[in-house]
Amino acid sequence: MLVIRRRPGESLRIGDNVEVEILDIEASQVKIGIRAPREVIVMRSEIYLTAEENRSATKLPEGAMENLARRLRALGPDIDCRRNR
Amino acid sequence: MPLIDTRDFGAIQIDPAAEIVFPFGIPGFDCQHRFALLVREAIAPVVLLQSMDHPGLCFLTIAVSILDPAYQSGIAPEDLRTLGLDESRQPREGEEALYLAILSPAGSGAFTANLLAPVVIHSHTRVAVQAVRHDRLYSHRHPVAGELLERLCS
Repeated sequence: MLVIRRRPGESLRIGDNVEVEILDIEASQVKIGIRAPREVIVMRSEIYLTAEENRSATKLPEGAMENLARRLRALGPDIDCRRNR
Repeated sequence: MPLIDTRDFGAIQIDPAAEIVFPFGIPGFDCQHRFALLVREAIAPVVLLQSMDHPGLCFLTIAVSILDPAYQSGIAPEDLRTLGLDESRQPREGEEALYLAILSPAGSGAFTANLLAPVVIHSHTRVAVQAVRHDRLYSHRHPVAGELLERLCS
């Protein structure tokens, strides 16, 4: 990993179009400003991880949904969530 | 009662109270806003989060309190604002908000749960967000005990 030391008010560039500026530093938090073209997606790493995880969550193994569907059908044609609150 | 199309369960009737709305979608599915929360004893503890607009989009979830009874809520102020809840404190789980973790397959019938980003639903308004934590107290791939998943595998 490239490590660069910067102070508040100083910035760095990533490629030709992205500028990252250190705006403020507190005890355990850094405020960062990012200037980037609209097409560059910027998000917290946790949100990126969650987006990936959500996409993977939709790729369920064969059989799992069938098992659930079979169990639901066994109790009748309608699924009504209020009955089980 | 509204009728929705689903790929896996056919056309199903849902109670209007089962409809929940994500004003900003969820990460990776930013344009998906309307989901139905399907809670049935037959598949407990799994709860289905079925898109009302896309029949093929359905998430499996389990209540966070079942996965980790000591889970510490860490919803960011901006998410509390979206939910319309008091920004100065964490909501009371079960009373003010429902917390669900989305399951992902992890191979060989195993699943992990995303405790980094629980789905939080306002108990009364049914507004929901996937509240991605700012800290790293919890994993996005929390292992799920096999006995919780018996009804998925048999």
